[in-house]
This record gives sequence, C-alpha cells and structure tokens, in this order.
Amino acid sequence: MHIMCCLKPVPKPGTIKVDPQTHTLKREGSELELNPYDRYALELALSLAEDTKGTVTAVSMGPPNAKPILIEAYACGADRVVLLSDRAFAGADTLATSYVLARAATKLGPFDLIICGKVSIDGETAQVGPEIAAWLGWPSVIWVKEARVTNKTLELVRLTDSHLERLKAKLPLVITTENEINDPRPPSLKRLLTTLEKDPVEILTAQDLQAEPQRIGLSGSPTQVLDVFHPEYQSEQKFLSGPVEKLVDELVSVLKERGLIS
Amino acid sequence: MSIFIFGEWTGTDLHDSTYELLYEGRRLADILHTPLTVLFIGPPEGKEKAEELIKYGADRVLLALDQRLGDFRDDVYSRIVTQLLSKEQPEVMLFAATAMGQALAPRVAGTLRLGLTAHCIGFEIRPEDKALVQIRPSFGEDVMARIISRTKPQMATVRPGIFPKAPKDDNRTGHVETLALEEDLFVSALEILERQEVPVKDISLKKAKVVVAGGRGLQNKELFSKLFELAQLLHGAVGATRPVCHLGWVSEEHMIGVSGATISPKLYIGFGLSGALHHMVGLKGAETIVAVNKDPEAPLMRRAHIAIQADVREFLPLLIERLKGLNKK
Amino acid sequence: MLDYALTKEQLLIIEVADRIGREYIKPFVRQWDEEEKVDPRPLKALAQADFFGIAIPKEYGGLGFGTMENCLAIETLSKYCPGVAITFAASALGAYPIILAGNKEQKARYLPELAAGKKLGAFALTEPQAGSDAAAIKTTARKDGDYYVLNGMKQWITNGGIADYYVVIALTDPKKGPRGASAFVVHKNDPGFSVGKKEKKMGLRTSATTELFFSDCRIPKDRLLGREGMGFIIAIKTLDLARPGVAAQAVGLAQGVMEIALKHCRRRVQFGQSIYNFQAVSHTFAEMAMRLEAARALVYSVARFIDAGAKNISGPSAMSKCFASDTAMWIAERAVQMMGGFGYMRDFLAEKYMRDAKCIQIYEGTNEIQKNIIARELAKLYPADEEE
Repeated sequence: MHIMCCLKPVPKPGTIKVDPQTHTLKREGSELELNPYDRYALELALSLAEDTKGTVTAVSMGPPNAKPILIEAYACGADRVVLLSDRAFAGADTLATSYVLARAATKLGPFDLIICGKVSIDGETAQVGPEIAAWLGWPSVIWVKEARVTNKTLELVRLTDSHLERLKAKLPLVITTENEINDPRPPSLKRLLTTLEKDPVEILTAQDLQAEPQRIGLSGSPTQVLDVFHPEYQSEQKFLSGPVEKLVDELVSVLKERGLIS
Repeated sequence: MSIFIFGEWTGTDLHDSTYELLYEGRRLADILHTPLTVLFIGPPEGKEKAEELIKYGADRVLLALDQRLGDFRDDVYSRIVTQLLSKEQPEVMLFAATAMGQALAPRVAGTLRLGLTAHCIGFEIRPEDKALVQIRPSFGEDVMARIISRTKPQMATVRPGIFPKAPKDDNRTGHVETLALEEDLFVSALEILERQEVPVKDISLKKAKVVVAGGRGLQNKELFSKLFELAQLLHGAVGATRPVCHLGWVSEEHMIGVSGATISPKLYIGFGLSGALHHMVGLKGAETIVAVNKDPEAPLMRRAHIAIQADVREFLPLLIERLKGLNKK
Repeated sequence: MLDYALTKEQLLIIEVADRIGREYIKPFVRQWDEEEKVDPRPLKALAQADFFGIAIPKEYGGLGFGTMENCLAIETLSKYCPGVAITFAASALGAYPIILAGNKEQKARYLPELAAGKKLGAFALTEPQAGSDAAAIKTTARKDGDYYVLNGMKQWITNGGIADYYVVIALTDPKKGPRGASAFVVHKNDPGFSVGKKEKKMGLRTSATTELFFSDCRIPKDRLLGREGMGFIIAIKTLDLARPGVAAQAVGLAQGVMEIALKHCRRRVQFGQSIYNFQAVSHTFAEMAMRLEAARALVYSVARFIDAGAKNISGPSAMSKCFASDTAMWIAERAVQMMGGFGYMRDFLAEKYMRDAKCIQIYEGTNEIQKNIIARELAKLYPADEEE
C-alpha cells in the first residue's frame, strides 16, 4: 500500500510570529517543529506500510526552515520526503492548504491512502484532512483509532462523540488519526546518519505542482482575519498575596462560603 | 437569503448542539430578517424530533430521511449537504463542531470550494454588508479573531457548549419538507460494521461543580497528580491545559479549551496555569474563577475573580493537607 | 560549558538519546521507580533508534562506533534515568564478550539480533561468595560429549529475567581456579536454566537485578566463547571496556540531578529572593559544576584513549569509573541538600538520583576494587627496585 502522510510544521511555543496585517502565522520567522499530533499519523503510516510492504511519502507544506521535520520523518522510516515550498503558498487557509496537498498527492502518487493528524496545535481547525479528500473526490474518515488492511480494503475503528465504530472502507481514502493511538517511534540513528551525507528532502514549488495561482496562498483563501481583540472580562477582583499559610486559609474560607466543603 | 443549520442525529435523539445552533441561528436570522432552516439527515425514526425543531425556532425543516442514513457515512452525508447547498444557495451554513460536524463541514467546504471557520464561539453581523463575522481564538496570538469568508454560503462550525439551547415555543409554526433522495446519493466507500457505545470515562469534567486544573507551572507529573487528590477532597474533576497533556502528565480527556472540554462549574481553580486563550475559552461557563500563580501578570490571574499570588508547589500540598485536616474533624 | 569538539555523528547520538529521554523516559520515571518496574517501551524506542547497535561492528548490523559514542548514549540516557540506561548498557555488556572472543558463526548468530535490540543481552559473573573476589566463582561447566552441563548460581545479574542471551562465566576446570574459567552463551530457554528472585534495591529500581540458577543446564558445545580457560580474561577485558560506560552513567546522573536542583534553586524564593542568590547555595553549584566537568573530561579522555587503540586500559578505565561515581554521589547528595525539603520528597526526583548514584559506587567493581586496580597499575609504573 502506498501512503502519503501529511505533516504540519508548527511554531515552537514561544517563537510564534504573526503578520500584523493578515494575522496569519509567519512560519519563516518562527522556529518550527512537527505538529505533535501528526506523529501518530506518521507512526500509523509507517506500520501500515511495513505490514503491506508498501511505501510512505511524507509531505509538508512550509517554508525552507521546515526541512528538519521531513529529515526526521525520513529518519523514522519514510521512503520519500517532500517539502512543498513556495512564497506563493504563504497565508493559506485550510482550503488553499488542502488544495496544495491534494495537488501533491496527484503529482507524487498514485496513493491508496492519505493520513493526516487529528488537528494542528496552532490552527486547531481539523479541516485539512477532509478537505484534501474533497479536492480529490475521495472518501474520508476522521478520528481513526485503529486501521488494518484486509484484501484491498481498510478496516477501521473510529471514534465519534459517543461511540466506537468499526467500519470497512474502500481505497483510496483519506483518514485523520485520533491521538495517543500508538507509540510513535523515534528516529533511527542509522537513517539519520545517512542524512549527514545526503539530504533526503525533495522540494516542490507551485509550478512543480502545476497549481492554479488563484487557488493558492492568500488569494486562494476565502477566509480572512478582519481584526483581533482581547476578550473583556469582569473587572471586580480580589487579589491576594502574602504568606502561603494565610493564602490557603483564605481559599479554604471561600470554599466554605460557597458550600463546597463543610 | 437564508440561514441553514445542520440537525444532527445521534442514533437515538437529536444532538444537544443542534438546539444551541438553533439559538444562535435564530438570533442571526432575526438580525438579517431571513428564515432559519434546519437540514436534518437521518433515519425515518428521527422525523418526529426533527419536525419539532420548528418549535425551537426553525422556520423550515428539510428532511433527508432514509433507513440507510441511520449510519453516518461521511461521503453519503456530505453529498446530500453539498447538493442541497448548491440548490438552495443560503447565506450561511452552520454545523456544530461535533465529531460528525467536523467530519462533514470540511468535506462540504472542500467540495464547494468554500471558506470554513472552525470552532467559532461567537458571531456578529457586519452592518454595512450583512457579512457574517465569525469569532474564534486566533492562530498563535492570545487574542480573539474576527473572521469573514469571501465565499457563500459562509460556513462555520460552532463550538458545542458555548451557546444556550433554544427555548421551546409550542405556538411557533413553520414548514416541513421531505427531500427526494436519488439513488446514486447512497453510493459509498464506507460500510459501518459495528457500533459500540463508549463508556464515557467518568471524569465528568463537563458536569463537575468544582474543577481544579493545572498547567505547566506545576513543574512535574507528580505535583500535577496531586490535583486528583484535591479533586477527590472537593468532589470535583481535574482539568488540564494542552501543554500538560502533551507532556504526558495526564490524558487528553482532561483537556479544557479549544480542542478540549467547555466547562461550567461553580468554582474553577487554576494552578500554575498562565491562562492562554485557547484554555480560557473553555471556562466560559465557570461561575467563580480562582487562579494560583506566582506571576501576577499571567492572563488567568488578571481574569480570575480571586487571584492568589503564591508558589503552587507550596500552596497545593498545603491546601490538600488543610482540607484533609478538616475532613478528619 | 565546555566544548569537547564532538563529531557530527556524536552530536546526533546525543540529540536522539536526549529525545528518547525526554519523550519515552522522563514522563514515566517516577512511576517506574515507585513500582520497581522495567518498562519495555523505552527499550523498544532505543531498539527502533538503533542504539543497541552503537558499539557493534557494522558487518554484524551495528553502527560500528566505539567506546566514546557508547558513553555519550549512556550519559545522555542517564540524565533522565540511570536505571533505564543500565538496562541498555548491560545488554552491551552481554555483547562485548561475543565481540571480543566469539568466532564468526557466533558473531553472526548473536550480534545482529543484539544490535537490532530484538534480543537483550546480560553478563553473569558475580556469585554469592564471589563478589569483589570474582576469582572465587563456583559455577561449573562440565563437558559431556557435544555439550556442556552447567551447575551453580549467579547473583545480582542486571537484566536477569528480561535478557534473551546471558554470557556466563563458569569453571570448566575447577582445579585450575580462575585459569579454569570459560565463557558461555546461555539462552533464556535452555533446559536447566532458571531465573531466581528479583532483588529489591535501594536505587536503580527501574532496572532488573536477579539471581540465575543452573541445574544440569545443558548447552551445545558451540556456545563456548574462545577456548576453555579464557573465561577470566574475557571477563576482565569486558569489564575494562564497559567501565567508562558506567562512568558515563555517573556523569549523566550528576548532570540530571544538578539540573533539577539548579532549576529549583533559581526559582525558589525565601527571605524575599531566589535562594540561588545566597552564596552557600550558588557556591555549592559552582563546586558541583567543576567536579562534574572534571569527571566528564576524564571519562571522555579514557573513552577516546580506548578508541585510539590503547592496549592497557585497566588503570584509566578504573579511574574513570571510580572518580565519576564518587563525583555523582557527592553531587546528588548536595543537590538534595540544596533543595531542602523538596529534595527529600519523592515527588521531586532528586532523592531518586541520590539512591541511584550509590549503586554506581558499588557495582561493576566497587570503588575500593577500582583503587586496587589503579594502585596495581601505579606499582607497575613505579617498581620498588627501580633506581633514581
């Protein structure tokens, strides 16, 4: 089975920079790391590929400083690692992002399966997976806890709000993984050492993907941030400081007042 | 001009969030002087409940009913929604950010090449052009963002638990239409084999009267786990920030905030928790917020009703000790 | 503070080891220690990351690195948990005799599996009456046609019960004493081999330490490493090679506990200021940092000395182990003291490092035995009868 796994570079906490005009993230200026939830997707992709003697192509869209994420994916066992990088991609919302990833799937494929993580910790939209499926006209299943290949179909267990569902899905398919479903493997030293000699990352631009200019970046993004604001909260406040024993007493009396302890 | 919301069937009943969408949908429809339509997809046994949504504020209920719609198959459902939206061209289409809503909305948005805003916690109507302004925590910044979409219908998913449920008015009237569903809508790559209720791990975060939550300021898993002791003493539940869940101090079921739970306890105590907006949006319903932190400038300290400046490493063990002492007496 | 001019490869080893420490060890270490649990997950991660192959030759599936790289891996892992680190290092201890004395078939049979971490190794020398006096071992291996039959017991064997292959030192000719000792590979499923009780230890509780029993344990004769009578030489060479690893464990431990205490003392406020501002505290850390760096410099020098092909490594190897473990014990004790009550509480981990550190002064040859070795080497350098 040939699998594409989408990996999102997200800014390391504390290094986040935002464009003051568009209020979109400036990924070039931030220190990037792999979205932690995508590691479950990558682990699932690698183990499914092992089981089926297939391949994993790891794909990220991002600036050149996202490369270490793909080197890591390579070290973990991905057969091919591709960075989709072009200034024209900047400012993309989920629709423009999923378009580029769908173009990559067409260009780098054919794939039987595309796996994304549940959600990214920066945008927290959880939209890109199903949107890739929509661009490709494929079915999609989100919040997958287990996946097993049996005769060209995938047997899945997915989580809904109140149920676990076992289902059978025909390929090709896009899935997003539930978190904490596996123990993601660390990078292999052996593979990592080879990257000292040879850079495994392939870079593709908008042109390489034959992406339509009006579909990518800011111009391909229907959603726009108008402005941002600080939510207002109540102004009445009790501020307590001093010796810790006294502070504990104060809280205990608050608890008593509200009838939360006797 | 019309506002559409998605009516979600859980298998036995309508999802609570559908009533929340009705509340906010009604409000927006009144501002825009436009009808509010519910699109219900489900098995025939959902018909009665769906029709009743008129009494909860809908002007029109569109029913896509078929026994085969008892299973949620992403491709079938999204095909029905997509076809209907293309035909009806509403101004606005809202889904709840439930498991189903999150599976469905982006498939629809992607297919129709529409903008989609996730997990909104509020809406406004821009006076000059009646555009739907969608509010959600911004990317990266600790602020709220107002977002608009250039495409129509303007689509968003709505965070469950934020809006109240629409009240029932037995005198309301409206139209109910049953949609004719062509056979090829049912072609699917998915087959549901088995459905099994998940025993809701009873951390009952959403229903707890007291929630004690911790952030990275608790320094380590051991100190964090003291919160469970405290929660037990207060008959409450333990909440956590996302970074803490990532550090493996506690499972993600305890997460409060954008990708976690929204809580409405009488009392919330945050320990060593800076109060990133992504966490704080989950506190919307908390009656009293107490913050314990060394840094008086931490956002949660500024927001709290009671801000206690203290080292959590000393404060927390001492508080537990004190409460245990009270229990003995 | 110091830059040891490490190679790109060495820096990668540290980076990956650090990551394994952060992600697969740190969040769980308190619980493992409380439950005295050997968790297979960090070992699986180390296997997936190829760590078990660091010191195994490339032709047998390893990475072909030397003592230095092995030390860097052990040091970095020990920063997070010296117990997990010793489980890892003890497997290499089981591989060394095979690398040193095994024939081609034996190497091809065992090393690839050990390198891949699919199988775990252990080294079994110590017996109830043969601790520091290792020559007093009583376990025998009697030749019986195409087999050897082992009888006796081993004690305090790291990885006992979790290892797949045990290199066992046993007497093939009891009359000759240590010169009658030989080294064998025993498989965990061999008939007559069994694992005894798991010891309850003061520290290193995240590692397994057990007795091993041999009761007419029959193994094919091709399990003999080298020739009959070479057992003790193999054992001593193995321990000489492994000692810098133990020293590296001590260095990592010291680094780990110093960092915990330092972070605490920088944040802890008493008398209206960070307690690090008090010289009694900051000077203690200055002292810790100095001694730690001295220990690290010694360990790295010895490791590089060995990798440069040095023949007589007993003295330097003993020095590194003794000095680094004494330093680690001192630093761990001071760290606990500087943290005050927090240091003594099990929630804050410093006390765990202190308990772990004690073992490093004792095992793999007590520090007293190390001094014997150093003194013996000194005596060789300065013979009493040499004229000025």
